Amino acid sequence: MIVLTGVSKIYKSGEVETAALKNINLTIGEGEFVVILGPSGSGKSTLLNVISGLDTVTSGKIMFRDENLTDLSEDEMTEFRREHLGFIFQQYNLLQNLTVYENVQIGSDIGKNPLDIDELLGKVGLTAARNKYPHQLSGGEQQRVSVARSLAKNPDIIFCDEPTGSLDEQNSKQVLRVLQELNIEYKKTVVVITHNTGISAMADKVIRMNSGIITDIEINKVKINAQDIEWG
Amino acid sequence: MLLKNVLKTLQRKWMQLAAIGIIVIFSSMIYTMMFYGLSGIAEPTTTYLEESVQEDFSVEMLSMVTAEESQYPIVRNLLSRNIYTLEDIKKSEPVTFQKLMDSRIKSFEEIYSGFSLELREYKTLDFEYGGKSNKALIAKDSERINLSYMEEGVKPSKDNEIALNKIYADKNLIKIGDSFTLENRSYKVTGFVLFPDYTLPTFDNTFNVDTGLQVLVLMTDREYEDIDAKEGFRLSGTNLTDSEIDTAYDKDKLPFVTQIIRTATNMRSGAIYDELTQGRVTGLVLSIFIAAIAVIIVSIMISNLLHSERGQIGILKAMGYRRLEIAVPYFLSVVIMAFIMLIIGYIIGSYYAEPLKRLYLDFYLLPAVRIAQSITVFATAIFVPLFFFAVFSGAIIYRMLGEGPLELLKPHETTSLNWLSKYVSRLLTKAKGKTKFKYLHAIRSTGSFAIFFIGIMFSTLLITFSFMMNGMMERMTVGYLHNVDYKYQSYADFTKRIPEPKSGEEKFLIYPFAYIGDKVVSLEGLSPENRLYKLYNESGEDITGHIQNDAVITKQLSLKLDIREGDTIKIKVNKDYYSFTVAGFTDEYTSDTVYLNISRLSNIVSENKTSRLYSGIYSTSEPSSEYYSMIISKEGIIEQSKSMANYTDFMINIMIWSSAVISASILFVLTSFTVEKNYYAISLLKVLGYKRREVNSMILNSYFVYALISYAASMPIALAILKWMETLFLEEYGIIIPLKFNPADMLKGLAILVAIFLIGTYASRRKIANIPLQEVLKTYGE
Repeated sequence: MIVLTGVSKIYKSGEVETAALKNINLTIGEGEFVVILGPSGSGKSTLLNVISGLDTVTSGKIMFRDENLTDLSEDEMTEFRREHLGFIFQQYNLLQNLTVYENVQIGSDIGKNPLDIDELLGKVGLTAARNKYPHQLSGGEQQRVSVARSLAKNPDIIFCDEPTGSLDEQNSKQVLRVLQELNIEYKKTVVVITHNTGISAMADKVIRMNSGIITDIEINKVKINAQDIEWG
Repeated sequence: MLLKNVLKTLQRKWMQLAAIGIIVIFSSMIYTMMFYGLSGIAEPTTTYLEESVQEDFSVEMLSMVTAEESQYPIVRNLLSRNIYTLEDIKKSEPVTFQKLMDSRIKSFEEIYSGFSLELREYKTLDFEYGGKSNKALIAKDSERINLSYMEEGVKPSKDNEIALNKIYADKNLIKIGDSFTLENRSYKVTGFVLFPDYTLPTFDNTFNVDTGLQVLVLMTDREYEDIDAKEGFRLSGTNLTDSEIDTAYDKDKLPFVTQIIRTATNMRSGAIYDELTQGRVTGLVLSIFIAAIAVIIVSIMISNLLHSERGQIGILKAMGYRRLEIAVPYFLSVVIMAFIMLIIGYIIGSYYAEPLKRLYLDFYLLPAVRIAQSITVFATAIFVPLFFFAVFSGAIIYRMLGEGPLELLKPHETTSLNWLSKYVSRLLTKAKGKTKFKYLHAIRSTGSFAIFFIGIMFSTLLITFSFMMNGMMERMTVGYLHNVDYKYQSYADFTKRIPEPKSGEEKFLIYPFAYIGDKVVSLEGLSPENRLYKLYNESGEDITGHIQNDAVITKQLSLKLDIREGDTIKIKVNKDYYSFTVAGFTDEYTSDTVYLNISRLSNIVSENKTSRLYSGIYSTSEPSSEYYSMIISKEGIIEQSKSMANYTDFMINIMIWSSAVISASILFVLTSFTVEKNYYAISLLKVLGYKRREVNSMILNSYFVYALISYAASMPIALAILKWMETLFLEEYGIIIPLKFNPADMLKGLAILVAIFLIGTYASRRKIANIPLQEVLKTYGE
């Protein structure tokens, strides 16, 4: 589904050049649950940014199905994100003056074939909170709204950048359970960036990174349920 | 170091600061300009009017003998010679005229003890100067009331000498010692004169107050009597005690009186009093209004600024900095900035006070002195708004710094919604999510939204008034003249034998002393088939034929007396009453005239002796001056009014541009704040896949819709104020201000508003385009 070939990303600050990604080659298959692991500064967030088109590459090629993302203009990239990608971040990024339902609606409005919002809210366990405002929810609930919003437009891939970074264990597992269900039920490709090694046990593919390079790619033969992962 | 940090933060917001600066500058500028501009006139005006004994009231009187006076033996002889107007009596028998006037003054003073009268004699004359038609008002030098005032030079002492008013002389490049020609006679200008009963150059019933084409003239008494011009008379009065004259008089005891007008309500002599008061009030209200907007915007800006600095302030607090230490740099920066802007406003205001004063003196015939700086005006223009800036900014800063370091380090979360958001949210229950976002984020802050709403309303009012004023001067002066086909209006000289009108000449008969109720009205007789002075209504329909049996009245008269079409009016001529059905209104705002069939009017005036009376003729070619005492060129009158139209165009442009600058500044500040506040939301929307135009629409275009709502809401307010102004002028001065509401102007106003909106939000659109996608990955707080 996504193929990265020789992707590098170099940040320039005055005279200083920092290579955040060095010659990355990677394939993410359709419907896979991928976890990218690595310590701070390993380049995992940069990798997510370039795969998702939030940032550009310095060199290399990123193919999505038959389309070369590195050739796309800004407007074409916006169109691509609009049609194919969903995002979940460490911060929930909810719009404070909209209710839970309305926040999800913001995601659904731009989808060509959006999912049913009430069904989604049921899936993330927030049916009762549909008319509440973000400030009336717990952190876990807010992140589940964020998950529902990302899925509402029915994207092909969901990118999650430290989705449990601000949550306690119980809430984290709830969010991960939802992600796992989405991956299985809706056949969505899910890419999760995390430094929590325990999450890797629920992935199809685990990519380890350090200093801008992929150090290891591991395929899990057996995946465990989100509720059963060992919290680290 | 902290101050340096704050200054650097403010530097990054230079565009917003500049926009706020414009509003702050406007507030002190308008106050300073209005007050200095007016004080430059007020002081010398008070001295001048006191020293030259301005009339306290004037008694307008019939310019013909009354029924009672016609019984006097000295008058009866004149009547037998068909001489019954005061002007003709004075020409034929000056002694009889003087006796008649003495008798009128005596009978008035007998009833009104405690008041003193003096006859005011004046002549009006149309003449050519510099290729243009000019109008002169020659006042005979009086002895006790309305004394002539020499601004420069000396009074004329010889018959070939003349004094003019200074503004006219300046505008026509006439200096003392120059020669000036009037009625084919050359005079030497000896000085510049003013008459206190003419502080506004309203020499006739048209509202033409152009001081470049209308001149006050003083000449020797002998020359005054000799010059051939239409003469008028009134009685000037002063109060001998503190009590004011009662303007309701007994018509039976004073049949020659048509109206008693106090100076305070007399446009000609007293409009300046209201102008000075209203000017000061307007200056104060406008500057308070703009200063209030500035104070609120500055407060909102400080609030936003501090919100964006929460993390930094939290760190400083955590390090041990005291609240005051953190607050002072913010507070000082704001207060110093406001102080500098207010000073700039004061300087600009002082500079433009002089042109404003000259603008007033372009209308008013008053002496002027140099404007002196006043410590009170300085203090009010600078320190009053500064005090409010300081208090509001101080309060916001102090409140914000009241939070603990940990709270400040955490992202700020909205914990409640205002009532407006709740209300709009309910209205949009069924709308799409992006629509809800679009309309809800603009109203998140009640204060910001109120400022936005008021700002747009303010602009709408100014723009709407500007359009309504469009063509007002024309309608008040010569608008109707464009409709009629005559070129000359000539008054017959009945001391001569007048030849019968030729082909192309049409008779008219004017009787200016009739009454409808208490109101003096002028009756004008025309032929229902006439071609040169056709009567047109507001829709442009020819209604001349209606005077065959009925009456047609001017729109002005219909408004003043609340007469509607189909009403029956009772017109009093001498002691008799005549009833007419009102068959229509002419689109005229310059006179209180009733148009009748000329033969019917002739029968009324002559008490059925003849149907052939007339006052003069309308013609397309200039008749011989041998038989006509006054020949008025229509083109000349139109020419006179042109510069007035230029002035109103200038005022309209000033109003439109001022409102555009203020509202564009408000829009710019508010939308740029909105963009800053929604920095992360914008980034998020982009990441979600919203296109640039969609993001612009969601963030900025909601303001546009609210601007339209505000615009629509302002319309009825503007129309209500318009109605109030019309009533005020009608009641105060008996003048109709023909402001006109044209629905097409709403579209023009809307176009201007759209342009202001696009200009005001241009920078914000660019800012939105530049917000990086990765912002959403950073710590997020709305």
